[in-house]
Amino acid sequence: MTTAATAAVTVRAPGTPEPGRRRRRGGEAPAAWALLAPNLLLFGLFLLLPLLATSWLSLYSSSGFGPREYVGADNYRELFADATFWRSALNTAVYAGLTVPVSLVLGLGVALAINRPMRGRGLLRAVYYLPYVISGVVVAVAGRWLFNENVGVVNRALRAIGLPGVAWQSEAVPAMAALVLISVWTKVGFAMVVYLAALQGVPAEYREAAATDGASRWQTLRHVVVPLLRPTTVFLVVLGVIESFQVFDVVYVLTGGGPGNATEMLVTYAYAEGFDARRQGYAAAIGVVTYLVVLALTAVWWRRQRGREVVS
Amino acid sequence: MACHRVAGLPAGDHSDPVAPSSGSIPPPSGHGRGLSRRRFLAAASLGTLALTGCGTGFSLARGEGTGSVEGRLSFSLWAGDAELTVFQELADAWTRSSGVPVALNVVPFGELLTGVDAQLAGDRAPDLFRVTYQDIGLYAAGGALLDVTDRLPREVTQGFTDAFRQAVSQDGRLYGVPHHTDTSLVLYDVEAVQAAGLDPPTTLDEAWTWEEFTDAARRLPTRADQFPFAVNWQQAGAYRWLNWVAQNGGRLLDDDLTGPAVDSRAVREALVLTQGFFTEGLVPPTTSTKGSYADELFTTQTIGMVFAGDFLLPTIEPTLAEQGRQYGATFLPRAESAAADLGGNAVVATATSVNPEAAADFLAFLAGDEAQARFCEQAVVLPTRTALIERGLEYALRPDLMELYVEQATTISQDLVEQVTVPQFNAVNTSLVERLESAFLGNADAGEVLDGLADDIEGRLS
Amino acid sequence: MSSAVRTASPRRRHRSAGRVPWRWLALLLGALVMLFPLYWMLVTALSDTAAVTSGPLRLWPESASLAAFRRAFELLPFGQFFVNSAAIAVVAMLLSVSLNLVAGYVLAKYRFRGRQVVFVLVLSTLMIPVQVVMVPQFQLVAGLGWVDSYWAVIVPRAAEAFGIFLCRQFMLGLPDEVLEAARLDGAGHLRVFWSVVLPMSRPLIAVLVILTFMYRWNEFAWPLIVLNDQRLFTVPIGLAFLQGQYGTDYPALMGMALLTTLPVVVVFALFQRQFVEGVARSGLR
Repeated sequence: MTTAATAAVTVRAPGTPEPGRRRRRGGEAPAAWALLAPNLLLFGLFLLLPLLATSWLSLYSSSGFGPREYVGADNYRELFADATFWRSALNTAVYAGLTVPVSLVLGLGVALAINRPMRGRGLLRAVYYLPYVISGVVVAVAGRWLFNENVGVVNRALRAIGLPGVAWQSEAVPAMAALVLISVWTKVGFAMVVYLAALQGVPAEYREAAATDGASRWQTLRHVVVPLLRPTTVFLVVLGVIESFQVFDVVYVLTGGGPGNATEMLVTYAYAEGFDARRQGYAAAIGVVTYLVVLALTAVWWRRQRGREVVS
Repeated sequence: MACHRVAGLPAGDHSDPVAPSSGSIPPPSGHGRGLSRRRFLAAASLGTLALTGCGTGFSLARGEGTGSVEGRLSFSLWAGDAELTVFQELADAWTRSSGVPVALNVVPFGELLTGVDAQLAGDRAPDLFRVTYQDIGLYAAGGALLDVTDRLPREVTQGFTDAFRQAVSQDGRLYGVPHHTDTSLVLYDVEAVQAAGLDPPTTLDEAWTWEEFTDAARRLPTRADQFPFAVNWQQAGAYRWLNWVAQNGGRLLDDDLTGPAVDSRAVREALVLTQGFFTEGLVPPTTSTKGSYADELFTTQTIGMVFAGDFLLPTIEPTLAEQGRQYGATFLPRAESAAADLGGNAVVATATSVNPEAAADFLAFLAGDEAQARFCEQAVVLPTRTALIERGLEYALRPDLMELYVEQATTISQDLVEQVTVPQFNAVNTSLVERLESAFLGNADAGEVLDGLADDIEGRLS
Repeated sequence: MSSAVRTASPRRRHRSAGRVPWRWLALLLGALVMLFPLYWMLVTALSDTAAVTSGPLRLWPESASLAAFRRAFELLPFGQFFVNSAAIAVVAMLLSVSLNLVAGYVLAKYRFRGRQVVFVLVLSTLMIPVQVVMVPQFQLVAGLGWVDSYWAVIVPRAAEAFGIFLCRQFMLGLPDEVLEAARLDGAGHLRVFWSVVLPMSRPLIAVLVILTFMYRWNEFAWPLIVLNDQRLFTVPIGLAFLQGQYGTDYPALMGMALLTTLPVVVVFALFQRQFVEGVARSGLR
């Protein structure tokens, strides 16, 4: 994980000191641990301990109350043979694979376009960022209302101009599309702000290129600006993937995983197994696997990233 | 709201926070930061204001909790407006005679059992909670419920009809009271039905057969964004699909309730018929088992007829009145016989309650003739007590329709009740949701769907 | 953003008059698309259900009425919910931000054995899907006797990996010389943090305030489970009630959903000027 930090530091302006290079007085450790203690206590107690408990629970068959039965690795064995689990994993990957790039590309586009003086710039920027601050529950509620297959404004508008409505709620592909659209809506603003911030680190003449017209503009963008923004992109991708693998509220309220299993995600599936089917042990196994997958993905990505940085 | 007064601070942004810079990070210093300092002060005052102005919020920092504590009953439930009013009234009445206060903890239907599960796991369960007949078996089998067999007076327990006493029993022990029941009817938009020249049956004997019903549905006039009808088998209501099975003389579970019985002509026909509703476009595709609740589409005029429980009348009635629409009701379609779903809810006490006597006393009161009559009349739901069924109730809303619901409820068979109240039924129901969804929307082959269902049932009953 | 940056920026070529500002128009169009869902929520909130679900499509309210808001406030004590949400979100934010800053500072500027391990461990908590660990978390909170109190909502989420990560990245960029000088002057650990590190971290604090406030204000599942007394409910829980025990009142739901969003927008508006700089200087790039 520290590799990302390194990557971020490498694009830092020259003159920024490297951490810890200077000589240190001894005896910093006690103070460090004392200052970290409250955080460590909270993490340990409220996240790591529950994670351990969940891992433990994944070895049992349990409805959450009443007697539980030790089943060893049975839950995991069942998991790997469970078509719905694989479908959820695939859906989650598809969701991440669509939401992350689309919101990044749009966010970068808006950032490049807006990164210059213009009328109402602050307001425009705020409007693009606005959806990001809205809660997942509200986003999902709004999405369900907009994309309601029968009475939603999107389909009513389509019908008003003589087109058939889209089966946002009852067909697999449109349902995933609605989910991705509404997610992108909330994520574009964040990508925009981060890219805007990163553009401060891009030398003015290159940024200028994005603003000038002509044949070379695209070339400069493609071959100079985008590569310079690479660490930012990597960061946004990693963060986006982590978020996507944990997506819950929006799916739970917007599609409930349906139609069929078309939008069932790893976490919504775990939730359904735990609280609807009351198979807490199995749900715990899904959760543990999800956690490990995200952990591994992030680690691999960052390691590769560091490799590239070193080569270049 | 006082704590939001800071919103009045100048928040306009005329400068260019991301104006192009030379690319280096400016040295952090306190100079030239008049604006940021002001903003910083604004932040500080936001915090202070929020803390003082909203300190009122913290005067309540701790609630009474839902955990079972001595000298009080806590009762977790979901409730519509009409239900909540009468629950409160009855709880107050009981408190007056017993001296024990009752804290009602209302939670949205979809979240109640998640909370109860967590509370049971955390040993913080309430004294009492409301639960559907389909879910009660799970809690009873898990040892979470108070065995009230010997705690309730005989006149109370003997007052329930056999089917409902059965619904809250496991291995001959009683784990709660059957508080009320519901069942479904077909509600129809009077104007739409008249336009189609239909004359919906008014007695149970004349109820539409499957064929008559389907023909009637086909005749309902629809625009591009409208459908003839929708059935209420969504989510936890998936078990209502079993009405069609029972009407055709079929069963989901075998006679000793230990395995599937879906490999039969009766079940296959029921599936083919209901699958046809979707393929023929008679019902909105959004009303499959994982879809959205059917009744909402009736109030938005997307459908002309809806299968709906009596408990929905308090919601539907004012909405349609506001729109100036008339609606009526007719019986569920029938095949070999009529059959209706076991709706409604039980109220149960938890095994960990520290007030078992009070809890049992409250249950006895709540399910007694007088309190049940009051609840059913006000919340527009059906009774479970023989005396009330025989004498009839004076419903607060649409007594004309409630008469039909009462009649339809006589077709809730002991057979079906047994099947939907097995301890594992809630797991079976989640399988129904999945399998029916694949038949309705995925257009899966009926035989394969039933095979899958049989496999699931076998796995979940064992 | 400091004025130093602004004055340092080169003068830009301004768009010559008379040309069609395509870029600006495209941005405007995009902005309208971004705003439309919120706009439609507002239209819904001001209309009655029938007007936005049937009949010819109309993109503006036929007759604006506040009836939906009235219904929502009559149904549930939303005023109280707003006060509760504000109290929880502000206290939680202050706590989280303080904890983040201290941890970020230590991880960036102290050298001690186990520093990397701690950092990796902290980051690894970012990947825990919260819904899955909710039951053991509840058991813990119940064991502490916190259920149905604000502390049950505030404390378990107080340590926050993403915030610590931001702080660490930001503080790596703080000049060591300044910190060292302060120490040579005899300032203790807390003193250095309070009077040297914090004043240099304003943009960072703006980022943390916005993100944390937003995160805590919007939280739904966890408060719903640990808060049982209706008098303690937060606004998102109230929203869940509006989605209906039986049937949904869409105008009321949309109206309250919009109102819910307002406080977060206000906090964002207050701090947004420092936001971009804060992001620019932390690990977000």
